[in-house]
Amino acid sequence: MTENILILSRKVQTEALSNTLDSFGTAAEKSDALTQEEQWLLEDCVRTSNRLKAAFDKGQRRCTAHLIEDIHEFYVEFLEVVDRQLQLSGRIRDRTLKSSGTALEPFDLKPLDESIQTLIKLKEKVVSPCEWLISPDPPSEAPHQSAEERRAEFERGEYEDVGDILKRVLQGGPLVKE
Amino acid sequence: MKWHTVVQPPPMSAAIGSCGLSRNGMVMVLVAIHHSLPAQAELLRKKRAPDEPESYFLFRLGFADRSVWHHLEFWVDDVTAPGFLLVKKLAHFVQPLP
Repeated sequence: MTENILILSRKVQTEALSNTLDSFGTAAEKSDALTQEEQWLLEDCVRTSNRLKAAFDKGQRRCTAHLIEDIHEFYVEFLEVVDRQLQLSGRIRDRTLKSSGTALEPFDLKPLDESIQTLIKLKEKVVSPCEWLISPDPPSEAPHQSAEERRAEFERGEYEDVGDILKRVLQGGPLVKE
Repeated sequence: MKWHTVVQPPPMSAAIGSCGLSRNGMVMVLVAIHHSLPAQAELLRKKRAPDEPESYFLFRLGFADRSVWHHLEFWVDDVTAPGFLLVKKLAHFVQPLP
């Protein structure tokens, strides 16, 4: 289970909208209040879908290195949220279509349909790196070195502490000592 | 165990330098090797390199830099010198951003 705030927040919001839809029940009795709530739910669903896309796009410009395993886990959980949001959008669309027959003003489904298309494209975007991240790695091309050779290099002091390299680079120096 | 990460300057530092990273990207990689690698070594050591599992484990990093997705895979020797992680090999892959 992730502790990523983006995943948690988006998941909770999708669930909240889903619960709201459930609360409308199957009431055949139509009222202005119900129509208004259905309209707001539709708008909230479109807004949530668009925010999900915006959050993903912003995340792609991340400037922090993460373990591949953690990134893969994030993408898998993000895909789950996108799927749930797609299901919710579909349910809201069905509900709205049914209600359109009795509503005083017809619902405008265009924004919802556009947001569904956005989610489908987003899903395709996420699936590709998700598969790439877990694809088997090609074997190393570096020459094989025996344990004795590595030990001899280490004993000759041929290694440099990464902390020293980092300090040098942060002070404007070169990666490889001159 | 407290681990220290070391690299062999001519081959490894040069390999990192040839990944086409921005300065910020390069610093990020060094920070990850210096801090994240030793901090998570006990967990990472369980994922052994498939070609030489007796000598190396894999440390795999991903991030966006210069509008490209970078995937760096380091082979880390945790058996040659007790307490030291010898970063020995690097494979670098790039992908367009999703």
